[in-house]
Amino acid sequence: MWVFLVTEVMFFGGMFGGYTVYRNMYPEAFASTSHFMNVTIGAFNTAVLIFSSFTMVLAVRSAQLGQKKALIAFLILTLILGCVFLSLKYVEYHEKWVDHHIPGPGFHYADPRYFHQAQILFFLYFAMTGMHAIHMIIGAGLLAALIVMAARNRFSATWYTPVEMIGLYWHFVDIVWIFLFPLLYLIGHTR
Amino acid sequence: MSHQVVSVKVYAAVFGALLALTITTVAVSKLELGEFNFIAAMTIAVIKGTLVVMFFMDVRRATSMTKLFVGAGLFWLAILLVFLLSDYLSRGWLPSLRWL
Amino acid sequence: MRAPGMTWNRLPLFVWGHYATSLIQVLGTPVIAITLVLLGLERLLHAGIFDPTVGGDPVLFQHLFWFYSHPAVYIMILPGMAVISEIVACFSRKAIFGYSFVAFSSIAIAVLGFLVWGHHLFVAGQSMYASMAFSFISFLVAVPSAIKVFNWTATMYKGSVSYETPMLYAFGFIGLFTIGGLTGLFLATMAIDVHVTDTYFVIAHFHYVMVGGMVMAYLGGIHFWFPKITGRLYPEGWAKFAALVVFVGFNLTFFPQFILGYQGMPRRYAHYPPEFQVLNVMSTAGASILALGYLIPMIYLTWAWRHGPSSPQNPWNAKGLEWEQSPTPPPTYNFDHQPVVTEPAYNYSGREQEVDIGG
Repeated sequence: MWVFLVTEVMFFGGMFGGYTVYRNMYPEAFASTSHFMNVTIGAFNTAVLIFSSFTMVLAVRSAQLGQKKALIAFLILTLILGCVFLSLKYVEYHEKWVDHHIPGPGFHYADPRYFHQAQILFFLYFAMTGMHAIHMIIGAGLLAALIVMAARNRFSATWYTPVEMIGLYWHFVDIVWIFLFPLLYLIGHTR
Repeated sequence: MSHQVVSVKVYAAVFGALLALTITTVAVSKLELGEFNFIAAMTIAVIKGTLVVMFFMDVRRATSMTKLFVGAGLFWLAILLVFLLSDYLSRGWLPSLRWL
Repeated sequence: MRAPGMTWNRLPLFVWGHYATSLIQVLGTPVIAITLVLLGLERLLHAGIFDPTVGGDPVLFQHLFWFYSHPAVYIMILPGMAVISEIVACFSRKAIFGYSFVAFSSIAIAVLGFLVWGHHLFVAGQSMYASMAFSFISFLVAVPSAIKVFNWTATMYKGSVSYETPMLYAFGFIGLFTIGGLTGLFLATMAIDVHVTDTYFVIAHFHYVMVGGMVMAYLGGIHFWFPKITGRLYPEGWAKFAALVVFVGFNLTFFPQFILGYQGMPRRYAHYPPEFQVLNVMSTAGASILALGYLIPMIYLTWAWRHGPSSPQNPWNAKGLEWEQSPTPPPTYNFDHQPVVTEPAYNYSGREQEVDIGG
């Protein structure tokens, strides 16, 4: 799993690289677009994900102790928090759709000076958060599978490897968001 | 992998720290600090990430091989970002030779 | 899952080479993956991220593309080098000279290979400073490859060299890879690169390492392990002849391209001025000969698979678990009994000193 996570670091890293380059290239456009990022939802989502990492690590701990009921409870809690995150993401994306900020033929930006730059920055926003969301959805699926496996008594204090592995995956997705949040939502606000 | 189970207290403390840092980073972002905004936000993000890696992902108690892989992954990301940015940031440095 | 007695320092260099290859694959492939995802989204949404007409940066694309694609060529050559280590040791009846150096060189190539990608962007608008850094590191990355070539040559020194087909291909590899590698240094030199970039010189360079290097190693490996895989022997006479045809055909095809590139003929041009005609025709003639050189083994290897004489257990008297502890051809699970490792790799003399890399 760690080797896979290394590949994921490089995968997201490419997008972080692109983001950094364009942010430095178009600082005014960046400042302009940053007003459209909803810091409240972003911050709340960050808290939600951190909470879900907490419940996930408690789930792994329950598995280590052979506590089946607690394991299932924490896994379900993690899944619910993940779904909360995704729902809020949907709300944000819907906001962007209404504002015509989704790149493509329907894109429109109020300030004509920054039309192209804004489109690129929103492109990166959707690429990065979208890729993150896809990873969350996959994670949610994996959590559901874990819940079913746990309910069927597949795990014990001596063997709970899938729980641990998917825990690592879930924490990684959390870390990606920990970096996405300040870069996309917090920087550039005060210009 | 260590067989000792970590106490809930430790995890709860880390969780609390992560939330506190999140609040901090949002608060700092509201202040006008110029370039320092970016540095502050990234520093806090790195601290948060480190807490998750060390405690939630248990790298603190992991084998050297695991630590090597984690370090290598981060180092490789650094290679990509540093060399990429070194190009863009150094574009203006060397003046072109106008007499050629 | 490790065979009893196996340690890092007893691994055949074949395995070291593949291990280094897999490290590159793990670290590099995700970057090309995300680049292609972004490019695909760009096409799908008609929204530019690399498109200069809408404010995008094509140089960014090149950076991300070559971050993977340069290490990719090391993915391509490291297995070939790994094969050559096996062949040279066997047909010199001698342990590889400087085992640890060769092993570490594989890892060094993997690591350094990630730090040189900007040499594909010298004329793309990359900053001078970054280009200088990339140029310097590109020189460094040649060193581990050179170490390997020196060590293979030193292995043959005072060895008992025989000239079976795999060894002929290994000779071809060592010579042609060296030429390819050295011309790579020319390309790493910015002052030369501005003249020969995007010309046939580049094409000649990478074909010398890819065909003169990797394909020769591949053919050598195929012939080396053919008896092991199929339990039959290929016809040695035809094989030697084909090796010669491949060598002649290859050089006739690609050596003129160095000259063409140096004279200024660009890449990817279907029509060219008359002064380039002679060399182009020579190259085409060489290509036909090379094609013949590929065709002959395809025929006799296919024939030998069905109708070749049966091979003894270890026709080359090679060292290695596959030759000594597994039947020829191998059963479904490769080994009838769990292999046990009792000696260092390439213990041809019977009295090799145990290497100690560290467990």
